[in-house]
Amino acid sequence: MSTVLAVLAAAMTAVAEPVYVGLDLEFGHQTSTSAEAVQRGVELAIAEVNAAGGVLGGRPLEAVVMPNRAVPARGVENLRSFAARKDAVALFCGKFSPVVLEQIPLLPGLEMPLLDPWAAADGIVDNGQHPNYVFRLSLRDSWAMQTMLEYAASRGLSRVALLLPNTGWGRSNAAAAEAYQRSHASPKIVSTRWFNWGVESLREDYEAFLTAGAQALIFVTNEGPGAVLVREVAALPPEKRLPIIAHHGIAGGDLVALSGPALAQVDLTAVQFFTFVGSARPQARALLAAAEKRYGVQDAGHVLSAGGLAAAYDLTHLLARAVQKAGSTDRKAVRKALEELRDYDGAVKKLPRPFTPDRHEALGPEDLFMARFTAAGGLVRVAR
Amino acid sequence: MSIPLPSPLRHLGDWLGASVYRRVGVSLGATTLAFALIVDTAAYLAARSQINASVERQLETESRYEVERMSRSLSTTVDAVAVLARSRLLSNALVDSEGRLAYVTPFLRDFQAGRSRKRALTLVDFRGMPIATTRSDGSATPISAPWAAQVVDRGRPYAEFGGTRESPVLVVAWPVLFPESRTAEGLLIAEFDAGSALRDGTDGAGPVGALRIRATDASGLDLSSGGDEEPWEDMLSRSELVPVPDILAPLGIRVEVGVPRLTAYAPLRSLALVFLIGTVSVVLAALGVARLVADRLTRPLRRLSAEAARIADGSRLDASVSVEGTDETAQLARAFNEMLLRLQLTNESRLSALRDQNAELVRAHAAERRLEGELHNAQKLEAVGRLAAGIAHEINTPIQYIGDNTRFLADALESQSKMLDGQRRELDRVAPPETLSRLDQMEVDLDIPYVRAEAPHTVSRTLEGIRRVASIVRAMREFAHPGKSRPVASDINRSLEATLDVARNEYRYVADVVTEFGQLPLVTCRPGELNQVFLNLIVNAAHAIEDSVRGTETRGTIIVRTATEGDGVVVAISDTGVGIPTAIRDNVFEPFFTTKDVGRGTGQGLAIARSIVEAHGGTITFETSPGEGTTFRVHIPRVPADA
Repeated sequence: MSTVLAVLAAAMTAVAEPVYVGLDLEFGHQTSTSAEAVQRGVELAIAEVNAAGGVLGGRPLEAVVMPNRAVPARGVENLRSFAARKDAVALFCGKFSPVVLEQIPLLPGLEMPLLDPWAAADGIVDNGQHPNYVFRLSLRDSWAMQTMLEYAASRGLSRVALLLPNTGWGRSNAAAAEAYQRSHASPKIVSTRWFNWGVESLREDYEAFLTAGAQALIFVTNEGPGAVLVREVAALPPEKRLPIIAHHGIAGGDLVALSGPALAQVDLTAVQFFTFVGSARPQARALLAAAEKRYGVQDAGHVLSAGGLAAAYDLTHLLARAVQKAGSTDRKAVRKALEELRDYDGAVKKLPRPFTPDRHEALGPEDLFMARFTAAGGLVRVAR
Repeated sequence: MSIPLPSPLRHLGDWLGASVYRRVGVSLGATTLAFALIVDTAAYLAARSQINASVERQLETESRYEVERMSRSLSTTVDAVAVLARSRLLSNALVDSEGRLAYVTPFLRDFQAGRSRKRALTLVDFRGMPIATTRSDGSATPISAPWAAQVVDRGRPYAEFGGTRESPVLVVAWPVLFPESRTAEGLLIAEFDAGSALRDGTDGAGPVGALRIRATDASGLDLSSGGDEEPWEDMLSRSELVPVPDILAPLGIRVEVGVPRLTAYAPLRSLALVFLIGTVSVVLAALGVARLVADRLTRPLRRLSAEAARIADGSRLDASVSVEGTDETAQLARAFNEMLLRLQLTNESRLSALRDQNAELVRAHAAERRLEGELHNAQKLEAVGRLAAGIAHEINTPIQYIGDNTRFLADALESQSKMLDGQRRELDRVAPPETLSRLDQMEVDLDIPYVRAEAPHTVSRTLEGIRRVASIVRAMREFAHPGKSRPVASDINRSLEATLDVARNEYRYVADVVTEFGQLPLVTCRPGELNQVFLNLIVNAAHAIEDSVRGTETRGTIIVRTATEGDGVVVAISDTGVGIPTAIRDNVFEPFFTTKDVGRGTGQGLAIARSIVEAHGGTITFETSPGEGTTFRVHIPRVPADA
């Protein structure tokens, strides 16, 4: 019976006017897997929503994918073009905080809700806008930095170095580190260095950290520079290989493939908020099963950028509910409805009140944990 | 065909032509000047050729140096831009919208491409929107040029010359690659002073010595004048294409090295001054010699000229000039004398001919005046003739009934007279004498006998007068024959009678007319035209007689005879006039030939008569005897050949 109803609902939604969900993602970026993960999470959720009758009395959700190559200017163009589309209700961003940071000033004018399943800069949500159009289901830099530094402290690593990208994301983390440092004596940040986009070697920075007496490296990075450093550190004698405590962004690509055997030679952990590995939540298992079925994912240990996939999945369901609650594709109403949703039991976690007018972060610092990469590229929880 | 000379040349020619002395002097001076100029020109050209070769060697050396220098400078500049565009700082700036201004702008400001002086460096994103610039005011406008999009889309650099003509700018646009997408996501636009980019930053230093150096692009834009203000057209120059990096190849940059002609040929000007002084000196000397030679050569000529002028003043062709020696001047004097002699003879001959021609002209003039008068009279005569024909036509009808009525009156008078005679005879027989006596007295009182005796004569004379008038009218009508231009059968005798009537006034006071008409058949002719012939002959006869009887008490005779002859008729009109002089017998039928006074003849009469007669297929001839008279014979065929 339920199958019949689902078929009927799907048939009804197929003929109705779609409601569009924009995906402004870093497709075109050579090493990212985050874009694909977010797209999969959205698509899996849309499939479920549409199978259940869609929104607004039978209208299907439909994803509109817009590559931005991780370039802010292209992200801005994508936002403008999507906002001009009829029945566009919300835009998903990707991994790159600089892209999102450049889009934020445009959101109130376009009245476009922005759903963030990954980008971590504090300023994305703390943007000073009222009402706030950004809704994040991910970690934020201040929490990540706190988690990474606490993790270092927990390992007795009292002198750490900070290696940051020369972008707004890097500066967001630097501010978080400084804030943490002001209230915590340990670990002590003995050196801070910045690297530019596309860097081909971090050897010099690493040497400087060694010189500064760093015992560990807090590395705010994506997969590209992460792999660069992994290979360079792995090439050093074991006594010179510092533990690398990396930001969530390093899981945005196939670090295993980029680093090769070097990854096994270094002590690398990364702060995360979700992994399929070891998760017993039925919703997570169901999502993994759907991903395995639809995309041929081998198992939980093979899911790349798992946090992005799960967060996108949950945010899509939250959006569908908000649209339904708003009763129209009016984006102002949708934005307001997102703040009023209740009792969502998602793949990442159960969210009794995902967002409020004053809180646009669905997660909290307590949701973060440290993880290591499996040999297949998945992540396995190692602490907290 | 002669080509007209310009006025100054014509005046020069006139001036030279007026004097052998001038020609000799000018020829000698001009020859000397030409020779001096040829020598000067040859020497000048040789010196110029040497200077050209020297300058060419210098330009070649300098050009090679400049080409290498510019090529190196441009390569350095372009390479520097390429390196800058590949900087990770720039690619980072593409994603770091928050913080990039803090480091990109100083980074760009510190950039130095060789020794090229940069105007501005600007980083724009893939849309052409400015990210950072080194412009002093920090402003940068969006780049919308088509090449900007092409640089991003194709990832290939681009270069052009911009700025102003006075201050050209080398623009090099290089794609900024985003390493993590391996696509061009931005554009670095570097602008340099073209001069400094071309010449290793030394554009203000200027060339050494007289050399001038500049660079141009394919459009001819002067990119680096090296401070030179002289027009390049006034240069001896050499141009070479500068080898450049591929990005600049389409610009067609050339280096030109030159020396101002004024400078290069300065030695020539000194040389020219020397040549000028030398040439002037030689020409002046030549003119002095020319003066002596010309004076020597023309002295005999001037003497001859003076003698000729003296002869001319005396207007005497029988004079001669003196002959001295045997040279060309003496020969000229002899020839001059010979010419005078011949001129004298020729002059007399021509004077005689001129006199004859003058007399002929006077005669011709008089003849012309006479012809004009006669033509005028002929025209008047024709008009009068037409008028007379019209009047005759109008008179004819009343004359006819006047004649009829008069004849009726004559008959009535005769009947009444017979009636009176019968009544008298009856009265004489029966009436008393006293009655008869009263009747006799009454006849006497009324002059009846005289009336009865004269009345028939009166009526007869009246009828004669009427007949005469009718005859004249008929003659005028028949003479005129208006409208009868087609041949008709005509009675020639009757035509002659009519013509005689018309012409009566011409002969009545000088001649009597005798007609001897034969029996003639009708002749097919145009009677009006033949009447004209006869009238002309009769009038001529009258005039000839008038000439012979003038001042005498005698009258002449005109005899008009007609007869048949062969297939036609002959009309002979004879007069007893003066006859035709032998000298003019051959001319009498020529148009406008006349011997009559002005107003009396047109000279056309006989010419017209012959023309009419010949038109009828006939002939007209005459026989004359001076002092005795003339007979014209007109033969008319009965039927003309063309009838």
